[in-house]
Amino acid sequence: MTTNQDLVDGEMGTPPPSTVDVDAIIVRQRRAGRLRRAGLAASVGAMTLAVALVLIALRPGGPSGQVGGPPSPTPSLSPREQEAARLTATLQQLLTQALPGAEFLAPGPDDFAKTSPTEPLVFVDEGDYFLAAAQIRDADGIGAIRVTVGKEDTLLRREGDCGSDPPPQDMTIVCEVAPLADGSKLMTRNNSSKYTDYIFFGGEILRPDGNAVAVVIRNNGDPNSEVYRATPHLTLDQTVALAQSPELATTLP
Amino acid sequence: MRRSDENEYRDFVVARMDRLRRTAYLLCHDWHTADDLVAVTIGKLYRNWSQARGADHIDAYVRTILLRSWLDERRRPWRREHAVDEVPDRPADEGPDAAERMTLLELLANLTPRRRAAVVLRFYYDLSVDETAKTLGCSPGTVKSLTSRALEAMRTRAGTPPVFRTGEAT
Repeated sequence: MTTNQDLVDGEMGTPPPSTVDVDAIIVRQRRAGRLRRAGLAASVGAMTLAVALVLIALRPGGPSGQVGGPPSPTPSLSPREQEAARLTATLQQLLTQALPGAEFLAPGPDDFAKTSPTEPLVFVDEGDYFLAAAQIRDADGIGAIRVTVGKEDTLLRREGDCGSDPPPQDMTIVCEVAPLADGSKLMTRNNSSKYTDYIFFGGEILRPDGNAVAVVIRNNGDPNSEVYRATPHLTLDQTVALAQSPELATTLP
Repeated sequence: MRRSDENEYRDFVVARMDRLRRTAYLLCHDWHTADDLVAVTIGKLYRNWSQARGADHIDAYVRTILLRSWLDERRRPWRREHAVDEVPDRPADEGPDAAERMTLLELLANLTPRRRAAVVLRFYYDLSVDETAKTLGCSPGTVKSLTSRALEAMRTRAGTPPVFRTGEAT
């Protein structure tokens, strides 16, 4: 008996040769696993150090009351770790100012990142770029934000323009790329689903030194979830302005 | 992951590759995107292999990853949009011979993502309403509604009832 599967497979015909390289995926996943474990170890180390410093500070007499003795050890952070910490403080300050009263929650998984951020608005180092994300909750519902700083392989970097919606072309895309006076390129993007209430705003600035800041904000929290909010938490103009914030730029090579 | 587990994983993935690609193609209607989706799926499977191999039905487990990854992908902000010189022609909506030119794949392509996912699971995989609901992470009532509306949309577009065999009333 011909099943539906046979019927559809017959119409589909013979697939073209696969471009999926299983061995390459295994190698990539092994490397990602090592990075995750290293990241975890670093987090545990940093946490231990922080707890130790707090305990020292809370001791009777505290560090200021001590006379002599060796100076407290200061954690030596690499330039990228320092930059991640600076960007984290900056982003948290900018968003707290822009969205007073909003609550920032742990982001959903980012399957295209080597290391998915797990803390809200805390930048993780992806190697070529820094990535931070969060779900945002306020009285009007849940949305989400994703910010990258550095050299992420985005469409603007790769193609230099807005691109078009791939099949089945279910998004309405309003997007433009404009050159700025300093040689930067600025992408402004307003995408909405043709079939649902899903909306996202994007702003990305690609500077002459090759570093970029890309901000995307959408009106649902988890990619698996339904739309929870009528619009994203920031307007398109606010999203683009956030991407252009000088404090969010990096100059790391 | 141990080498022996990795070998087991590789054997499993290679054996299922054709079915995974075909399913992904039904969802994406583009072989490049389908291959991207399969790559994401088997990457996730690698990370969760110990859990997957202990699952009651490992094929269902992988199918769930694939379907949910695709629904994720549809919502991703920077999904792999590609620049093209011209937007490809779509089948005409009107015209006396439109129905004859409509194939099953084209009818599927015109469904919304979640309706398409429901149809693929219900009729391509012949899953029950409950199994489909579990895979999509929604209620059986939602599956019935998605399927019913999908079939209605296909029927309207084709001008004739879809040729799917239904093993169970929706």
